[in-house]
Amino acid sequence: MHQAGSEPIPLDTSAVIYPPTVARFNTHVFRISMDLYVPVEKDLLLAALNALMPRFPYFSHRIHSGFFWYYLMNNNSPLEVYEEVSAPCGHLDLRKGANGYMFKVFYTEHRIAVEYFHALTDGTGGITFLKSLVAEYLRQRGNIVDADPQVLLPGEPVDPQETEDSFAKIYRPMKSVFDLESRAFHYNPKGAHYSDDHSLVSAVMDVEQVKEQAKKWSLTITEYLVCEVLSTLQELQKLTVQSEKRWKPVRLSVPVNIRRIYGSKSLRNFTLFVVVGLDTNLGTYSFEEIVKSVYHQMRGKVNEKALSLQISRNVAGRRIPLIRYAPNILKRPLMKLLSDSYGDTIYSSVISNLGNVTLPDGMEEDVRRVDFSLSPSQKNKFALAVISAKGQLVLNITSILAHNREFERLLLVHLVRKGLKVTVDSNG
Amino acid sequence: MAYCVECGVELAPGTQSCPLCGRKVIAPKEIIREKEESLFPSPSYDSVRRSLRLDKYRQGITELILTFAAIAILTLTITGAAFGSVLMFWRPVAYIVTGTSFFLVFLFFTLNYRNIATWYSLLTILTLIVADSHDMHFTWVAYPFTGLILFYTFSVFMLYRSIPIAVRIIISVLVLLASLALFDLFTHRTLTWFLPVGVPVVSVVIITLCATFIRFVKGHPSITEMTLMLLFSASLSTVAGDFFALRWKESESLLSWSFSLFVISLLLCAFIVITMSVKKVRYYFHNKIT
Repeated sequence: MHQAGSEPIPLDTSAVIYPPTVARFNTHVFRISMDLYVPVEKDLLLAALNALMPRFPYFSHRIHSGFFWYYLMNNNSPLEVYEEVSAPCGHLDLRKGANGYMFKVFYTEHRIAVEYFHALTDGTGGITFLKSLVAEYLRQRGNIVDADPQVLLPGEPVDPQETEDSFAKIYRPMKSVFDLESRAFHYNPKGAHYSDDHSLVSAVMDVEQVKEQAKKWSLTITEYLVCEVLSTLQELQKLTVQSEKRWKPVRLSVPVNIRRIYGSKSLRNFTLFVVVGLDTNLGTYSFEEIVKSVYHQMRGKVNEKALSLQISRNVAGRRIPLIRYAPNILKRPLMKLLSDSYGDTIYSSVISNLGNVTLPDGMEEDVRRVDFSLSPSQKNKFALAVISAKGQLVLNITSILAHNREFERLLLVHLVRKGLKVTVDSNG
Repeated sequence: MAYCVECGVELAPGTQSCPLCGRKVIAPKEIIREKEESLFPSPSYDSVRRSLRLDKYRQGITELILTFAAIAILTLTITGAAFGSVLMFWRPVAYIVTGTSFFLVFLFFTLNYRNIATWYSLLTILTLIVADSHDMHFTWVAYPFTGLILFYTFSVFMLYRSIPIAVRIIISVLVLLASLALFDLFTHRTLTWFLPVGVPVVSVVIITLCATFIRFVKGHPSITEMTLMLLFSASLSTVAGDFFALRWKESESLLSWSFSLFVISLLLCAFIVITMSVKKVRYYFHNKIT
C-alpha cells in the first residue's frame, strides 16, 4: 500500500478556483486516454496502479474543505479501476467517486483512461501519470519499456520539485492592474437541451498535413487551430445573432504550459491561460486578418514578462489579508462570482493543445491512439482538446448541448475545405 | 472508408450516419466496413455516476443568500440577548426566513408561472400569519388569506390541464362561493348579505362568463371580443350587485348608482351580439395583423 505525507497541503495557486466552482455543467474534469492493441486486464491494471502510486505521492491526496481554504490530506483508501463510461469528463464525486482520489482510472478491453479533477494537476501532470501507468502495465505484461522523461518508474526516488507549487516559488511582487474584459460571444441556440452526459465529437487528422497548413501561414499548430476556431465562432455568431449591434467579441482561452519558460518539473498545476480574440464589432475578419491578429496576440502574451505579471496578479490576490483570513464559506461564493465575471464570460470557448506525445520503445508498438478531452462549462458550451501521437492529431470537442453539433460541423467543414483529411467519430 | 456528402468528412468504420449533420450513409457494406471498437460504450453500460443537482450559478447564489440570512439572524439574536428580550425576536427572524425563501424559490424550482405562483402564495400567507400574530391572536389575516385562495383557484388551479375543465369550473365556483360566505362570516359573525346578494351576483357572473366560454370554444374570438365580453360581464355583475343589495335593504328603487353601468352593459351586449352575428361588422372590427 502506498503512503503519502500526513501534513495538510494547500492547493496550488491556480487550483484554488476549481473546487468552489464545480457544478453540474462545469465539472473541471479532463481525461487522457490511450487505446492499446493489447487487451487490458483489470487485475493487472490495478496492480500496475498500486505499484506506481508511491512514485506519485501528490496524487494520493484527498481534498478537504477547511475553515479558510480547501486543503489536501493524505488518502490511504484502496485504489480502484473502473469500467469505461459513455460520456467523458463527467462529474467526479470527490468524496466517494474514486474512494476520495482526485483522479479515476477507467478501462475497456483495449483502453486505459484517466480522468483528473483539475485541482490535482494539469495536462502535463496528467499525461506523465498516464504514460507511467501504461508503461507499468505493459511492463507487468512482459514488455521492456525504454526510458522516457515522462515515464516515471515505481522504484525511483521522488524529486521534491515534482510536488512543489511553482507559482509560489517564482512569485515576485509586481504592480499589476486587474482589468476586466468585456463579455464575449457565447453560443446559445434557441430551445437547446443541455446534458451533463457530455457529447463528444472526435476528429482525427494527419499531423504532417496540419503542420503543413500551419506552416503556410507561419504559425504553430496551436496558433493555426486557434485561427480556425475563431473563424468558426465568427461565422457561428453571424448565423445565430441576426442584429449586428448585438455581436460580441469572439475569444478563446488557450492554456499555456509554462514549465519550459520557468524550468519547472512540477506535476501540479502550472499552466496559465492566454485569451486570444477578435472584436467582431469592428467588422468581419478574413482568415488572413485572423492569422495576423492571432500571431501578434499569442507572441505578445506568451513571454516571460507578460506571464510573470499574470502570476504575480494571481498569487498576490490570494495573499491579500482580507481574502486570506476570510472564512471559506464567504470565499466560495466570491470565487464563483470571480470565475463568472473574469473567467467563463470573457471568452467563448477553450482550446488546449497537449502537443506531441512521444512514446518510448516497448510502448509505441502497443499504443494505437491517444485522446485528450476537456469538460465544457455552462457558459462555454463546448471545449476543444488537441493531442498528437504516432503521426495522428486528435481533436476532441466535448459539449453540453444534447442535440446540437452546429459548431463542430462548421469547424470540421472549414478544415476539410482547407484540404485536410478529417476522420470523424462520436460517442452517440 | 465512407464520406459524408454534406460535410466532406471521412466517417469512422461502421458509422451509419454522419455525427455532424445526421445525414444517413448510403454506400456498399465494403465501404462502410465493420464497426471497430466503439469510441465509447453505450449509456446503458455506465455504472452509476453521481451527478450534481445544482449548477454553479445557483449554488453560489444560494450560499450567498443563506450566508446573509444567517448573519442577519445571528445579529438579531445577539441584539435581542443584549437587550434582554430574546423571545421577542422570533418575528424578525421569521421575516428573514420567509424573505430568504422568496429568493430561494427562484433557485430551486423550474421557473414557470405555476411554480412561482404556488410557492409565492404559500410564502405570502406564511409572512402574513407572522405579521398578524404579534399578540398571539389573529385579527385581519383571514381576509388576505381568503383573497390568496381565490387568486390561486382562478389563476393557477384553472390551468391544471390534467383535471377536466368542467371539474375545474365547478370547484372554482364552489371556492368562490365559500370565500364570499367566509368574508361575510368574518365581518358580521353570521351570514348576512351572502345569500340575498352574493349568490345571485355570482350566478350572473357565471352566466356571462359561460357565454364568453362558449364563444371561445365555438371559434377563436379576437382580443377585442374577449375584452368586450369581460367588460360586459363585469358591468352586468356590478349592476346585479346593486340590484340585489337594494332588494336586501327592501328599497323601492330598482337601481341606484349603477344605472349608467346598466346602460353601458346593454350597449356592450348589443354590440357583441351584432359583431357575432353580422359578418361584415365583425370583419370591420377585426384586429388581426400579419
